[in-house]
Amino acid sequence: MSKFNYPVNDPFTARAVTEPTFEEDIFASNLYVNLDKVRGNEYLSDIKFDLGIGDDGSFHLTEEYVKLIFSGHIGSGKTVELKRLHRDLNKQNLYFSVFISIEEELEISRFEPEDFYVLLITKLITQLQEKGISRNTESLKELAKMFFSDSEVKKEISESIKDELAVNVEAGIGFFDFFKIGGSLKNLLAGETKTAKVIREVTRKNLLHLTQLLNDYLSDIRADIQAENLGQDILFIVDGSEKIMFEKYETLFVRDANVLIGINANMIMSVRIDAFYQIEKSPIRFTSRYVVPMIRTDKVENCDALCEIITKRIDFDTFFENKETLEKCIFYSGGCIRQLFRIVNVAIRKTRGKSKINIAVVEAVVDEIGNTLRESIDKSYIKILKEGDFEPAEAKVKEMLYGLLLLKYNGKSSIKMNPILEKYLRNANEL
Amino acid sequence: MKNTYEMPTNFELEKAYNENLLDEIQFTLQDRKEPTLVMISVPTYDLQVKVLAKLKERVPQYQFYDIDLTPFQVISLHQTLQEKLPKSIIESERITYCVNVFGLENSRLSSEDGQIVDSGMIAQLNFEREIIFRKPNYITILWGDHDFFIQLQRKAPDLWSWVTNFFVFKEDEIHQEKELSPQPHEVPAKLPVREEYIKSLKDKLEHLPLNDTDKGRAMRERLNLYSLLADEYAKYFDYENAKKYYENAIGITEKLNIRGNSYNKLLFDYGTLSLDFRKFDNALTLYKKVLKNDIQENTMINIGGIYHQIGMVYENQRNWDKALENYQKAINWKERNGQEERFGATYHHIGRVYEEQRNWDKALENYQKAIYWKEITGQEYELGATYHHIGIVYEEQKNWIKAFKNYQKAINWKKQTGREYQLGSSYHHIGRVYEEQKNWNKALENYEMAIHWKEKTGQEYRLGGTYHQIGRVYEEQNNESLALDNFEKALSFTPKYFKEEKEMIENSIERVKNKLSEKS
Repeated sequence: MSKFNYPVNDPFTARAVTEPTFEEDIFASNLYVNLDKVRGNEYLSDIKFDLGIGDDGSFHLTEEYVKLIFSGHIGSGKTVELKRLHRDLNKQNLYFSVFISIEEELEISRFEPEDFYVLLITKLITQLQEKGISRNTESLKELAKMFFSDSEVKKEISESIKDELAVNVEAGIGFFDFFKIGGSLKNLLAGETKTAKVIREVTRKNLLHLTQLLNDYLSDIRADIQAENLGQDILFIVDGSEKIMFEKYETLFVRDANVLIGINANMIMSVRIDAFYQIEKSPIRFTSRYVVPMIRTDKVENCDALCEIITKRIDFDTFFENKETLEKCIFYSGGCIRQLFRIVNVAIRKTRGKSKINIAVVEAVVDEIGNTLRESIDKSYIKILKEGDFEPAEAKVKEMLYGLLLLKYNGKSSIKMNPILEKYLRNANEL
Repeated sequence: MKNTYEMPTNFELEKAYNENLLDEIQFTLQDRKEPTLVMISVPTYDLQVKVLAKLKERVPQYQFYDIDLTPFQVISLHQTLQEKLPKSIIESERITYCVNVFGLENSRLSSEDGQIVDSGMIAQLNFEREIIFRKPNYITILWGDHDFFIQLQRKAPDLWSWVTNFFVFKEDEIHQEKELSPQPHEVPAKLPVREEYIKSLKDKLEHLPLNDTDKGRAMRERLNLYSLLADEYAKYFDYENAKKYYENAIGITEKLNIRGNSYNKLLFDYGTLSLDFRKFDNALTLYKKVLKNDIQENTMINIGGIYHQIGMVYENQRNWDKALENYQKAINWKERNGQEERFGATYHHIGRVYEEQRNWDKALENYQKAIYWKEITGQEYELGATYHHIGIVYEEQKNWIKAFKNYQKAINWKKQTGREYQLGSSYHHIGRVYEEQKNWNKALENYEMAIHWKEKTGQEYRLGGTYHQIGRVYEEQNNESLALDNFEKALSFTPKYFKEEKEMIENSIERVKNKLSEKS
């Protein structure tokens, strides 16, 4: 069920639907615009190929358990693309796909690398249960013993899930139930709880053993999934891992990458664009690495697709003076969808439905954003921008990619300055 | 719908700009079904009060709740708000509240084992994006200074990528409604506008008729121009020319047998020039002459001020007892003349004497007195300097966090009261605090800010000290070549009257040259 009738023509609603925090099922509400043609869909085909899916849609179990790194700028549309992959792949003839949004499932600021493994297990169990599979395997029992033997931990978890389980906690709950923590995991791991302490300690000390048990469980459960016709294999799609603290992230994806690679399930994991280049240099190889590129705005069809993203949400005739104005917004977005929304959102705020957005408004918006971008960097960054030699492994370049001051497009030597910043610097004679 | 959007282009640009922003915020807040985070940068407290009052008027559909987080060391904004906000807001079912959050920027740093460290609050905000934007049942409005938001942009990019509602207010005449007392002196600086003025005065001087029949009048015109030129050169930090014109003016005054205030003013100003350029004996002679004249002429109103200046000479000569004696006399005379508005400056200098004597408690006590008197007599434009010196006291005590906070306060006051020309010294000292902690990057960053402000406000003669410290940072990092570059710059900017400083810089140059030759 859509929240609004799109495209909207009320300025307050237009404000809401262009905010970066706007939540909507964009597939169900027909807001999704397929950008494969403009962004290039090769990377999606490649991902599918890596996951054993042929061009004709046929499925082949992958020879190895593949671990795909999925990266892209803040606001480039990673989450949307990962959700789309989940939607496309979560099919009985393909995968039993488990989509995990770390930001929603855990409190990111308190995230520890060990939590990742527990999250994989609990999410898988919860999702399986929703599909009627709740087999308690020996390996799972072992895992539960490792984590939940401590009486204080038992008490904490029992308390936190009693409502969900609707069982008599006094009478005791089984080990398997402990893995049904689900939504309570966030609270348990975020606080100074004994559960958080024990889970992390146990995982840290027994990481390899834990992986072995998890793999054994995955092996058992894979058979169940196939038998129940829920999918041919298990796939984890992990979104939002790029938001965790860099050093935790480094532990997970670089230092302990061999552990991650050792998990017997196919996985797609989003990573920060700056860390992407670090992972590339790491001796431990993930199966493949993909970057969601920014969309080049110099091609008509690209521009049209980006226009469509906006005009599916807000009524073009109500809000824009002419096509040229919207195209100007697109030009300054640099092909970054979130930046495009930001420009349009601020332009709506400036006109407030009293006038249509025209070129002068767009320029005013861009100057405002440009000023803020400029203020975030000092002369050492300007020097790099002036030289134009953007070596992605260089610390400041990585930082600028992460901060959207530089944008990554398809192809080699394809890092370019954010057009809003470029305009601002040129006007200020700093370039 | 009209199809026009016009940017304000008239002379009231900033006022119009701020009014436009209020319109935009009003639109942003109105008719909210979902929570959001709004950020508002305001340069001064007074403007913040104004904007907030207007905002409350404009969106009456909301209840406002103001919370100042200054007293708390916030790590998690979400958690702090959960703890501090009333239940009625936390449990509100619809978006009916706007929560104004003030003072969050004060939690950016914390103290750990006496060292200033990043508190992690900004990183935490980055992680809390989802919770802060989407979870509360109220609208969060984050108020702060501009630098805070720049830091957010730099260090919390995930959070920032969701920020569309960021509003930057500029100082305008609304702010001026709360009148700060006018500054008593024009800001000294090597400014182009001053150069032009000097040039025009000199042109006039050149065109003065040499054989005018009315000699007296020509002399008086010449005297006037000499006095003006002397003052302007003094403000231009050109000691030689200022001295020349003061002496010429004093000579003519004596020749014309002019006495009273205008003569004493020349002597007094020449005394102040001599004090500024460390000609202490001359300064003392001149001030004492003014004192004698005033007493003879029974002009008691200026006595307190003269004792204050004499105290400053002794202070500079490090003759602490004499300095304190004269400052005390200054206080007594000012009290007798009902000149409370001048207490602050003298207490400030008493504080400086105790600071020099490393009597920290006495220094702080007097700085606090200075702040008290400056505040109640509307001398806010001097507060920055006192907070700056409180910073120095804490810096000397290696209490970095308090030093840092007072330098920040100093910077805020200097900005608010248009004393940008003093900003360089506060940034310089923040640089020193970081240097002490061996946080070289932060030290360099602040020294660069110091240079920026000193250059921008024509305080070139103060650049030497900062370049010297930059050189020291590079030397500490074993980068002798960059150290040498900066020491040489330091030397070139240090006026020749600053003998001790010059000697110190020359020693530094010699030291790194030796190191370089050892390396080669």
